[in-house]
Amino acid sequence: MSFFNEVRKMQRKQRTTWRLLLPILLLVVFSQTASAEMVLKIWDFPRWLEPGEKTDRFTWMNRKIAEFEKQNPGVRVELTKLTWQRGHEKLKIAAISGNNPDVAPGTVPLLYIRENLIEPVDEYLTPEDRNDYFPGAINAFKVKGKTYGWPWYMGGQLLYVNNEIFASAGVALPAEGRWTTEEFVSTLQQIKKYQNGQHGYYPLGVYFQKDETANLPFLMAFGGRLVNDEGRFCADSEDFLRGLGWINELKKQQLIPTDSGGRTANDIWTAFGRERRVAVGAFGLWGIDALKKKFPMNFSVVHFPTGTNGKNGAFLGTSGLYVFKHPDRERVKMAMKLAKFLTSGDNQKDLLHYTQFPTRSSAGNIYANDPHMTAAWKILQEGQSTYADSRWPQVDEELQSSLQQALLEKLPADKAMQAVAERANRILSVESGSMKDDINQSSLFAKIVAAISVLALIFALISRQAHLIMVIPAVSITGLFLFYPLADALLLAFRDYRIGEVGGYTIENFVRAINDPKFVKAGWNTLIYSLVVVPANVFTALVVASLIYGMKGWLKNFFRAAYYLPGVASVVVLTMVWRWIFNTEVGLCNTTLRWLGMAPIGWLTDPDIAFWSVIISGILKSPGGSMLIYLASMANIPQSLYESADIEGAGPLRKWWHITVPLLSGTTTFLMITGAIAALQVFAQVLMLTDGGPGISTQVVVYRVYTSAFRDFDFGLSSAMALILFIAIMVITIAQKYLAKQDVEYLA
Amino acid sequence: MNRHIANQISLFFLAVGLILTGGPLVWMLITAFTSPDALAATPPRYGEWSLENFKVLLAAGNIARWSINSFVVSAAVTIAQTIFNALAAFGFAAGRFKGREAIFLVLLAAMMVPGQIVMLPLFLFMAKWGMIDSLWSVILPAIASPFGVYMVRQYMDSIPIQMSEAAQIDGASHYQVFRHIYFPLSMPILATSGIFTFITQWNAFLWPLITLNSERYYTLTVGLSTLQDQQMMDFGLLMAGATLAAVPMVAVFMFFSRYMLEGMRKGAIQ
Repeated sequence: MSFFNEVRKMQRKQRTTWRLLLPILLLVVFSQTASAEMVLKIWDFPRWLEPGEKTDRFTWMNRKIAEFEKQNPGVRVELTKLTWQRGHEKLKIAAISGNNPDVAPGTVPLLYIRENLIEPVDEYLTPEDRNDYFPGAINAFKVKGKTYGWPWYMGGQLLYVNNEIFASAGVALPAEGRWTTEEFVSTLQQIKKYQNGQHGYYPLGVYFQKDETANLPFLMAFGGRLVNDEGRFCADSEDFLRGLGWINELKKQQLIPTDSGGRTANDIWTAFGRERRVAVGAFGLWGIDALKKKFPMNFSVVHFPTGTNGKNGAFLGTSGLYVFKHPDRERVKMAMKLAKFLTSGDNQKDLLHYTQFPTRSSAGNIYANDPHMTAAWKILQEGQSTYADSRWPQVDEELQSSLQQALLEKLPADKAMQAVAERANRILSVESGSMKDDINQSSLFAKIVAAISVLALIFALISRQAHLIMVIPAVSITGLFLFYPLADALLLAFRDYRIGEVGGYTIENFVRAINDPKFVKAGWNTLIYSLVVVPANVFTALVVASLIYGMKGWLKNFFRAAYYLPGVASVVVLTMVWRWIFNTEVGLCNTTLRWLGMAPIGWLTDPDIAFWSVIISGILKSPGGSMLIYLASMANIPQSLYESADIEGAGPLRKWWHITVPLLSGTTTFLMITGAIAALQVFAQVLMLTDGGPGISTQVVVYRVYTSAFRDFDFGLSSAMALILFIAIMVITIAQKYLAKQDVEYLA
Repeated sequence: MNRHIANQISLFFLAVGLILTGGPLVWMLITAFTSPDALAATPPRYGEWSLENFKVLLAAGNIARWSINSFVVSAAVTIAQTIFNALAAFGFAAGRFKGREAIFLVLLAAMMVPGQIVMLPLFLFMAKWGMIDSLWSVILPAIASPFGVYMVRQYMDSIPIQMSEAAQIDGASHYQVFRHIYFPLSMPILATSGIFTFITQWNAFLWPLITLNSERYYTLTVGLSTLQDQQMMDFGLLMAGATLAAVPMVAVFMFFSRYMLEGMRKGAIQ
């Protein structure tokens, strides 16, 4: 019995109970009215903007859903809009918790296939369908003889060239779009000369980040490969290292930005498409559409440069829709019908707006009048397909962050690649069974916690102790939602569940945690963050409170409110603003620097600076609550102390340093404790500002805990790291409690 | 004279500090109210005001729905916490039952447990009970808070026990003592912690991000972060969204600030 099925079964049983129980607990009811119609859930990523649309990339999907509902009365289709950044994560979380949709998009869903969650489409494929599909497209969804999805479109990444810059620099485009690495470099050098060393201007932009294959072909120009025929990761081969060395050489000649390892697709796209500071860049097919409509440009798509092996390395991928298993056969049938409908030949004609290629020949040659797409199709035909393995995302994350580090010269290239090869092969060699069964075992400890709560409640009711009864709701809620999961976390941390053996306990998770370079980096970063940000914040609060305390009348009220107000804004809001301010190409900081004639700084892209940007955003925030607490404590300092100091002729600074500061030390300690506990848990800023990158330079502990659990599904490792954090927080709390006690004695 | 100069200096420092700490939000407002065309220009032209960003945002997004969700969650949690925290705090402050201090210590220990460590098991636990992807998954774990109980109890401890003894001699039950003496007397601290709870819930991010899958259940913070992912480069639109998220909290603060400051002052005195 797999974990997922178990969860689903339980859910069906429990849902009714909750629906009955909860409305009594709270006033607001958000439950759906039940109805006879079948509700299919489909999740999708943002697609193209229909003509006239400004922001909504789901209008096509909504329209097609309406058509489908019309054709199938009694069926309602509910669309959940995903984002490209977090969509895959969200889908994973939903799948493991048994909340998966009926239809979901993507490349072949190997992870879910392994977990036996996906319905094969073979019995729904007619012979006409099979003939209609391009062989490559249908093969992309085949695993062990079965087909697991409806191929929808094919896409890939290409090299884009800004023809205008090429013409102005007097360089010719490559003949037939093909060039060798030597021709490529000499072209870039000529463009460099033409650009004349202006800040932020480069012939080529590259980026290496998770889930982005666009620039990998550069590294494979000399015959290097990611995975060899035996399925072993081999990006540490000499050929691959030669490709990496070549890119590093481009960097030394400043043909690519010096902080290339930290750049994101977005940065390079802005620099290429919008700001036109970069002449060549690798992007997905979507770029063709964008360069025609949003940022009109005279451009060409060309082959990647080829080194010794003479092969073209552009990556080609096939995406489609797949259907999750469900006990209700009718529902599965309807979901299949929906997926087939959305990917039908007729509907694939609309891919014209998406600049992706149809997977069915019945869609016809929709790009006959489009020279760019025709050229792109030719290039991609010679390309390679992405490596299909359910563990690849984890390997990819390791690979990309090592590439970033090698390019940023944080690590020598060969060392970085050897390390990643070792880790990747370990990941690929563990034939991890599905993560079932034993997550599901309720821990004994947890049961004891629950039992004690119930017993206490019964005892209290019997003995009619009113006070005890009043205490019980809060205590048992804490027990249920805090101690129970805490006990589970303890057990998860010591459990070796990845291999799927029930009841195996180990300290392996802790060993892996302290050997995980990302976690080590995260630990240091978190420490630095806390050591810098907490004292800075507390000090700011103290100074601001002291200054405001000395003010009179409306000024006092004004400053108090003005300083407090930004503090009510959520960290999400503030981080969005900081991201805008720190943006490399168009942000406030760099716009100002350019205006002053200085070189722009890679606030979030330079690995030596990115974490300090995170720290700046942590320091420059409202002293809010701390300031109010200081103000309240100051009101308690006896005025007579200041008066006697006045008599002795002490200046304001001396009074502040010798009376105010020491008498507030209790408050200061309190704010330091709470500040440190909060700072050790810094997360949202990192997630939204840098996503842990560039390289691993901005990893923090909670971010690592989050990614290892919800991106890699390595629950044991995640819990072990969370536990280490917990112990750190506990030590600090106890130490500071002890310090606080000493303080009181000193004051007394 | 001397005092005057000192005043000028502190005014100067306060102004500089305000620019640094409040600056990002001002920049947010400026961007949000600048017309999209002016923003897209190279270099951007500031000073061309328009409401275009807000119009596009309200027409396209689900901001209204997300705000309602955030409000429902924050209000439900605040109400529930106020009741449960006050009840428990009263039990601890006025009760004389066995194991009182032991239970209280256990509750205090809970304050040290960071949310992230229980996140994963809690998620699996709630998934098992079918509570993922609903507002309940955000509300339920937050309906009592050890920190809140601690704060309110500290305050209630200062209420003389003689008052409740006198009431009991007059025949009042424990509940009546709570309802008519302790609860009203603790209003300042309950208001303060209520406002903090509301703001904390309104701003909560990580847990809702994990448990809420459907757009119609998103809270504002989750919705905004997806908006950021969807509209990567449209900063005008993003800042308009951020503004809409920040404004209600400013309003809450403006409206309740008097109670809050009073609560803090009294809390500090006692």
